[in-house]
Amino acid sequence: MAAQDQQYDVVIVGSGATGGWAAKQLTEAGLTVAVLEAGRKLDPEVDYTEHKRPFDMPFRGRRLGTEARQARQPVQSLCYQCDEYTNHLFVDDTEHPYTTPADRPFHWIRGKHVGGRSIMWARQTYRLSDYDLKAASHDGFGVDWPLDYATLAPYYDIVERYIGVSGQAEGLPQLPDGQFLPPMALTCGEEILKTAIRQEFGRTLTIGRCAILTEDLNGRPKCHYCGPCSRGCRTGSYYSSVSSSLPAAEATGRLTLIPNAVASHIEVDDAGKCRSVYYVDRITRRQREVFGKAVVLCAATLESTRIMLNSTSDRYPTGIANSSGVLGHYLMDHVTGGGASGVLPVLKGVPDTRGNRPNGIYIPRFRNLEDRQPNFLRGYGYQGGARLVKWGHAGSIAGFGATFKQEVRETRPWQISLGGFGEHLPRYENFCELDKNRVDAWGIPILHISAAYGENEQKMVDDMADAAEEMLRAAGAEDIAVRRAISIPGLAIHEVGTARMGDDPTTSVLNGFEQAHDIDNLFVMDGSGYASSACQNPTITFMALATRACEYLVEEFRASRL
Amino acid sequence: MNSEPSGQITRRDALKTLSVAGAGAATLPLWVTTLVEVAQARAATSAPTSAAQSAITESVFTQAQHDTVDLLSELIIPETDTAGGRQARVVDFIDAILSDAPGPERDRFLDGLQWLDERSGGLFGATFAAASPEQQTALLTLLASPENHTPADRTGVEFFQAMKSLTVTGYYTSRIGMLQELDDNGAVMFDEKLGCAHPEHRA
Repeated sequence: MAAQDQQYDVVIVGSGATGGWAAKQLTEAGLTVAVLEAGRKLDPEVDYTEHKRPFDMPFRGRRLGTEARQARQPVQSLCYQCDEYTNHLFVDDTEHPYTTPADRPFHWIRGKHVGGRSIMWARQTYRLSDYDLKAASHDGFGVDWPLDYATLAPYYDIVERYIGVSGQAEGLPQLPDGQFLPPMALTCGEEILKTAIRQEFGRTLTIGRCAILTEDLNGRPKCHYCGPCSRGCRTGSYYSSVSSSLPAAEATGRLTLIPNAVASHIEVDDAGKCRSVYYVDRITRRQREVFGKAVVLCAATLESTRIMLNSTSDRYPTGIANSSGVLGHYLMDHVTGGGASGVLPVLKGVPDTRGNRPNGIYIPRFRNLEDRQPNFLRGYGYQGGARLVKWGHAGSIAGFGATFKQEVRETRPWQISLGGFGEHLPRYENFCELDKNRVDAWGIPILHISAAYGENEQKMVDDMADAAEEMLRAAGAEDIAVRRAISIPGLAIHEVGTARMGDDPTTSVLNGFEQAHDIDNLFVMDGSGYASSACQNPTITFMALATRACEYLVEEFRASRL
Repeated sequence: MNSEPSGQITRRDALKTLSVAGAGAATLPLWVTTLVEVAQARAATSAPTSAAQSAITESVFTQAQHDTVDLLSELIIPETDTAGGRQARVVDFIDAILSDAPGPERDRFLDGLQWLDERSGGLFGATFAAASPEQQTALLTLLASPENHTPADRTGVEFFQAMKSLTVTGYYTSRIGMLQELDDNGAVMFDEKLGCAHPEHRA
């Protein structure tokens, strides 16, 4: 049966964290849904490598590959997760080109397969608060979101209860608690740091809140602590759309998942509403069309906007949903690079208590809450941890032979490290546009991305470095190495914005239900709608926003208003 | 898999297995650091499904060079109550890395091997491999102690730093290194992970 013969209630583009979730929610509400996924279906027995050990791998699992393959992943190889175990989960850069100005690099990390980056994500899940959603009211920069925390909180609840999030409630206004499964445990070094920074600075250290099961939930077994989640999980113990939401959608009998479908643009009808999505079959290279009464873009920040910019017509010459002219603008990605590492001599001889815990620690934002920093707006949180180093210190031990080998054993250091993730202020001049002179491997125009950090982010990175050093000292760390080299945008892999939400249709693309101001039956339910970046890992918020948007979509659909 | 996977490496790619951690990068000479940086900058790109199909390429070592590197790996990390560099087949790992190294860096390593034999010949009248264990240890001690050597020994000192860095990485990521020396038994299933059980750390 040809896909173009099919008419669905909703066509979703993208099968990752939000695409899978939207598919679940919409099919469970009775709607028929087609999900277009640009990549293939993964085979866990072949593609998931979480139980491989270094000596099982030809290159011991490090950053390596053939010369030919290396030339094909110059960008993806910059991602900390892209290594010998996982490189096949990242795109071939030669098939997915984009351009940037020479002095404004952007490292765009992508994975195209069923499940998208929900397979390789770091699983950290932190709620936003009104410090984030109403930041403009707090300090005057940018715009508020068109919704507040009280509006969003019930949707966080829904997502967390279904996907499973482990964590510790802390009662902090800037990092609201959620529906948590039991927390994972802190290591000895992390306990020491927690005590020290509470006593010295009144700051909180909490175990990472992560979408990993510490109890069985909804038919999924709890984590068995093998460790390297980002290589895939055969037991489905962390949230990916493949382990959780897509199977639920399939169980309704109303889901049609179409892999190898590279979406290129949306076609509109005479009334200017979405009629269909065109895609290129990745295998046959044939163009196909799939019809929907509504279209939901979940292709990820930048990719969803690329589809909208490429959806031009006489009615919409600059792209669909772009009457404001801000489509593509206000691109953001968390700034990183400030932090510090050291060793804890007080733990000499204490055995490792971390094992393969697939999680770190979190120090929530403490800047510009009740205080006002003189040098920068907004704030940052730290991620990191403390663990016993088993052999990484060997290179710094002199000599050779049996005494060297014994010294490596006896001097294993407890390393402690903190790295900041900071807010990136929304700026019009950070943007993407179509580069109409070039196309990707499927003939679709590529993006030109132009983004940079500014003075605010630079000063924040300096503060991340100074404050991290100060906290490690308070914990008794020695041999402290401070890092303050600002990151390249993209590498936090928290890219958001380019189709921002807002109440004003002249300055925003989407309303608070992630519905296009211009077109009632077009929704964008990934990170594109972010009005400001906050500093928390964003995926759980994408999903909470999508939950609210899907609820609204279903109401409007039933009322025949789309 | 019961043996070390050296034979499955496309040797041109194995350079990337170098690690900063294993190399003590801050104190290394530029040419060794170059190897480390190249290793860090390169991606893991061969999918598990295709890696096993990679061709086995020829060794960069002559038999004599192979035997000397094998010996050196055992001298740096010897068999004690656990196995050493020789049983962990560190030599195959190093061979693979050198096969992928840029020409100048590979040549400097091989030049270092030649220097070692010449220096050994001058001191003991025998190649390094043919010298007595006491003589071998004496020469390595000289190279491992930077304050003792003369400018003429610079080639050898740098060679030793490279050899040691590669041995450390190759050994501790080998099956023997992980299972025996690090007592990391490869069990991947745990009921839970225990945290800190020491009240004093919570103060």
